[in-house]
Amino acid sequence: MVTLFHPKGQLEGTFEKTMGAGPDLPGDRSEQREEDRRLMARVAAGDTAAQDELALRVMGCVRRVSRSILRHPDDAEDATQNALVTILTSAGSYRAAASIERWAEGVTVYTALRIVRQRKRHLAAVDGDADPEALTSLEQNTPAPAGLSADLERSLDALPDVRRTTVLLRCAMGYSIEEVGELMGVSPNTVKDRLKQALAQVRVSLRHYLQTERS
Amino acid sequence: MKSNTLCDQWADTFDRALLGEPISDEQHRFQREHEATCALCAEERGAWASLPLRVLPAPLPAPAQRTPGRSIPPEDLATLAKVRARLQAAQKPPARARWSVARARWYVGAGSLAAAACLALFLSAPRFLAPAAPVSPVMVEARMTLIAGEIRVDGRSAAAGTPLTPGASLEVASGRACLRVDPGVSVCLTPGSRAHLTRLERGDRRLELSQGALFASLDPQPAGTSFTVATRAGTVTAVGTAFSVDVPEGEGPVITHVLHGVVAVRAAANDAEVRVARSERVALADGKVSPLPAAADPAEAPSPLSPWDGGAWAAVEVTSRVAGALVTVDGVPFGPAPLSALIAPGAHRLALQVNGESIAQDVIDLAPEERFAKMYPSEPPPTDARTASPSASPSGSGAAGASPAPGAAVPGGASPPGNAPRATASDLLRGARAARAEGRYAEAAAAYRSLQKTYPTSGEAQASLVSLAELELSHLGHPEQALRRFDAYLASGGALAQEARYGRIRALRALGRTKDERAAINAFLAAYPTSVQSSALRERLQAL
Repeated sequence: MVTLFHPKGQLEGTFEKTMGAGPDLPGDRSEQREEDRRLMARVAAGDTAAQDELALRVMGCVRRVSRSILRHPDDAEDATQNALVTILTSAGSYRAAASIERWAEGVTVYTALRIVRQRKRHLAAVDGDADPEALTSLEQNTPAPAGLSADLERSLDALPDVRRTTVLLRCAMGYSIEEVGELMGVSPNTVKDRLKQALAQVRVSLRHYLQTERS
Repeated sequence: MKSNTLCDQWADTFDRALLGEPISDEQHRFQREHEATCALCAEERGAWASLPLRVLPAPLPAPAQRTPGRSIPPEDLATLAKVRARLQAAQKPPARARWSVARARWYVGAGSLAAAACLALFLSAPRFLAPAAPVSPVMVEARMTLIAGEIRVDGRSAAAGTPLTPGASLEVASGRACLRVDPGVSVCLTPGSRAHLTRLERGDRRLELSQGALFASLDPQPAGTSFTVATRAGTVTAVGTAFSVDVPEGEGPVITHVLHGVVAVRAAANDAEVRVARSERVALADGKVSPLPAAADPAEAPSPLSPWDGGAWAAVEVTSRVAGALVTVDGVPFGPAPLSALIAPGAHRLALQVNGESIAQDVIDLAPEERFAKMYPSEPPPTDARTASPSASPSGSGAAGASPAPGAAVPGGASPPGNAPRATASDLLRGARAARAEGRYAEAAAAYRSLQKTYPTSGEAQASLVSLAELELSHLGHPEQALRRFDAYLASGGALAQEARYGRIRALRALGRTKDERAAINAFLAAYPTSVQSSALRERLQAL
């Protein structure tokens, strides 16, 4: 069976109940996990050098995930800092079922989505008629680089935030439909509806970009 | 119209997979066959398949693997500072409200003045003074100074100058490795040694030697510092001395030999301390410290080599085309190639020997913080093997391209006087990446080739083999050249081995070498059974 996305493992209680262990990133080894476990133990013991090492090690991943989900730079920076604080203070809960990076990614996703929900509540308070599903951020954090998948990124950037987040969680980070639903606080059917709408919209713009490049 | 219907059918199947719905083998077969004839659908799949790698880059290498002295982006430093501040703020007890403090003061002052005065007098006796609040220990720095042979730091290859943090593990499979712990402690490990640097506090620097032997040499130490070697049988603590510790495999006694000064030896589970003086040897076993006869054979005395004394530094990285070559610097054997070492700046005689026969000689003159890297015997014509220590480089290159900067800022360039400044390996790599990011693939490829020609032994050149191969395969239509570069990278090894092997498979497919492709896929799946690419490769294997 062809699988486009890497399968996720069993859900673990590593970080509340919504974060799954996730698949290994390419090249992980059991010795690496042992080293990761030692590092996290030092972090949990309050070793400041270990805390800095961990923070700098996952900083790139945390920042990219934050910026992918929260396109506004201030929100993304908030999510980055919040996630790093949580990662450092929750190091003792790391179980080495997945790499540190994968674990940190899960923490960041949860943190970023919490900010997304806060924005939605704020929006509802300010403008009860606004449709969060239709909102798109005006600012983009990362310029779309040239290349084939850059067209896809441009197409994704045009999506409303919640659909874009749904696609990223499912396609870029490999969460299952059920896990995406848990993360976003919606039912699996809502996740599927959002994905169908997102795919239809992305396909139109992506194929337009591809055909434009060909001509 | 028919082709639109087929594309619609492809899209429907694709979407169902994305929605987590089962897809039949027939539908999979249809997708493969349709993608073979419809470039748009194939490109769409390619775009989605690359998304995970674009959104989530590969993890950063561990500190031991990073280029020493490489600057951390200011943005990351700023975020780290804010995170630290938040963590510290979260640990402080909450301030009490002013009104409650004021009221409490009034009550205590009015009702307990006399008692408080007596209590203060009583408590001022030193033995009753509450202990001072614990102060965070002052941490010291440590780094590798010599790496010669098969050495792994934190499970990875490293270069001289690699900083070490508490918990760092060292393994010397062959050759020799030396490290320096500030202030003034040099330690060299012999082949077969395994050790952990467990503490790096100024008042308690500790190395745990689980197997093998080390030699430690200490400059006169400041008051309040100590350096300890911990073993399964006990500890050896020294101040201003030179000594060795030998931990054999199995259950044999641990041997300590003192060359200069005095060490304090404690056997495990026994608090009694035994002082061991110059030229004395003791064995630690069964909870006892037992004296041994002095070493009769001078060869038993440990080598006191410590290649760098902690002052101004330069670095040499020597690789050899001839196996088993021993590197000497100024006539002093340093160890086998490949070798990376910190040495004092200035003129040095570099030589390589195999079985006592000289195979190469060189005279090098290094400026402070200059890095010299060369492969011997050299093939003509190396343009210039010297590189200045690179400034902040995003490459994160591996050991061969490391730039040591022990406690010192990495300069922008250290060209000999009178020479025009030239682009460093990192500059060339940056330029190539910028061109690639902007879609100027031919220009990027030319920049990668220039890097490989100008700095052939640098880590940047090695890593760029994979990038150049990807360009040639995916954008420039040269699968045969891509295959050669993937093979060249894999021949030397490196952190991008998995990417290189996957690229090799794609190159073989593009060349129509089905049999070789099948073999390569089988080897890949054996090595990386749970990788992101594995499912697609298994599918391809079935199709072949």
